[in-house]
Amino acid sequence: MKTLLYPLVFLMAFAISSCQPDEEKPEPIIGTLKVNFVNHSSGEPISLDEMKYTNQAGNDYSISKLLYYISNIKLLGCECGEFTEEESYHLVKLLDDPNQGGLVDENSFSFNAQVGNYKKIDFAVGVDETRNHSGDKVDALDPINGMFWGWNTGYIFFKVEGDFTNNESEKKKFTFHIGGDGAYREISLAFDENLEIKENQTTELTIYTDINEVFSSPNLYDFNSFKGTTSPGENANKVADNYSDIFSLTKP
Amino acid sequence: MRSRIFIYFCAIVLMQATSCCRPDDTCDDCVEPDGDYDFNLRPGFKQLVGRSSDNTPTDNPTTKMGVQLGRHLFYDKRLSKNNTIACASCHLQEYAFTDTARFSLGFEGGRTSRNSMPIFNLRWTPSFFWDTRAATVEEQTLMPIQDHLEMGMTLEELVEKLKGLNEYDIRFEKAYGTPEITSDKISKGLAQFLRSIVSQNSRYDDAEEQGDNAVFTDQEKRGKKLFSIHVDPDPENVPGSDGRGANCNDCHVLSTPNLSDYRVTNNGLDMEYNDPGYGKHNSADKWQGTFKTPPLRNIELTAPYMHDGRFKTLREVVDHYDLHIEEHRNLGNDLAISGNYRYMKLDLTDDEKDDLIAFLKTLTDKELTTNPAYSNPFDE
Repeated sequence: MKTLLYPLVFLMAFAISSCQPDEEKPEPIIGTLKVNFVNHSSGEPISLDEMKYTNQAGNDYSISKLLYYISNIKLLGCECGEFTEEESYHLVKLLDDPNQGGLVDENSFSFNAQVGNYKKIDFAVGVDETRNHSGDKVDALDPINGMFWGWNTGYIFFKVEGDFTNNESEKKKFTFHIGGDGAYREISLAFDENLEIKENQTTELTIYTDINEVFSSPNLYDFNSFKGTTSPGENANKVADNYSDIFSLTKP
Repeated sequence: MRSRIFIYFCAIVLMQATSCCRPDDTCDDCVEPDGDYDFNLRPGFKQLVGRSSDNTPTDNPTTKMGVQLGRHLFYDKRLSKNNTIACASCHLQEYAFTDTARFSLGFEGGRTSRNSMPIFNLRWTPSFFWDTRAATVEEQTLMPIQDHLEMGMTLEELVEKLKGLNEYDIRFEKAYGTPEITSDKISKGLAQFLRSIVSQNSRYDDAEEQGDNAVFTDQEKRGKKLFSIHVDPDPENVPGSDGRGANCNDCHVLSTPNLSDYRVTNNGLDMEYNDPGYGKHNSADKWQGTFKTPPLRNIELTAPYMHDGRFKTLREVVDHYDLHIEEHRNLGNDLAISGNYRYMKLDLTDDEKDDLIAFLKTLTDKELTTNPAYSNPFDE
């Protein structure tokens, strides 16, 4: 009888102990950061399909579709340390899509961040080289968003399409599909006043994106001679160089 | 005796202790007798379960008995006015659930106005029909039944008719727990069967898992490369492209379930369209002559091609995109872009076209066309 008792007592101890919750680790205190992107063209809000914008080369143009990846967000300059968002891939979308019943304007996202006072936000336009070629292709990174090239090139990082009036006064299309590992660009924006993430509260941060700047500097594009690119490579990398001054924390 | 009581005590404590560790869903009492349908998905599809592109609604999970009900409805000609046409009449399993006609035959011999679309991987499809007029699988199911050309029924007639067929009350009860027949339950059952139809066993799928080199021939690899690349005659701009590309992936996006991002666009078939496509439902000029990008998976089996079935062969389709795109005012940006190069002509060689078509044939899933789970249950 006793021989049966020992294993039973042992099993019992095991069963009970395995039911206990894992030892509690100190959880970081968190709040929520909601990031809003406001797309504009030299201060004019973007409304789709209206021929009312003019780029620096003097082309009148409209925008029919605008999508870009914002990724790998970091908050810096806090005594509490640096905060890095996990699985940080977001797709900003502005397009008219019958599959989704019309206008799709997805320009904000939220995530939990460590409480503290931050001086600066870093993020990237595009998808980092590792994730561009491996990992789950879901949600923002689902190729069904139409932002994926396949073969060995990965994602389209930035897409803007529209019409422009050419030198012969005809309506023509421009198409900028920018991607490829060489077109991944990191952006860093410093806050005038510290960004404070408060416990159990939502802090909002607005970033203004000037689409006109994508066509302006340092590389100036006249749609008459360059209607865009739909491939990774040198042309795409040059357009990506223009991202350096498209983002701003102050209202235009 | 005392030790025996102690053993009983231990056993009870042990049962209690272990049961508290069990996740709820393994408890025998709380699982419904028939349970969820087993999709048996490969990794590329499994990662999409419950994610943003999965359209399974919370009020219509896919269950074994729901799928069985839907399968019977799908194959039952009595769902049409004169018992001549079932859903399966225009969506034949051997042709990846499409038919071979340019325009499909309706219950009184009339013809539909567009080519029958294939059915598979609808679980990850954002809208239905060539013009996206149905937003959900559930909504889609009842539309051909009520179409005056296709099956010619009203929902009232449909419900009354099914009530008179004695086997259906049992199937509805098994699927939903109550024998009552309603159009909502008919639509849900059909939707469950349609979601259960998954195509994931082509050689292309093998290559997605094992790599192209392990699966594809040299010709198929050349075809895939052409498929992916948007042509740019300056090879410097697209390293490795040699200045060659066929632009297919712009809309037929690789690594999507059906090689389509389902965008609604004009693909330059004509300068004038008799059929406005999505433009029928949205009067804005930019939508006139636009249609949803169809699935490319199983394309070898789904001829004829385009919304009006105008092309009989894949070669004709490739020739269209190579040489014959019309500059319609709503032509998709991807097709219209010229960059610094020749306008809208790919100038593919015969060999390149053969390579492309060889790649397209790797999208054929023979398992889909022979899987008994999707076959006619009335033949069993």
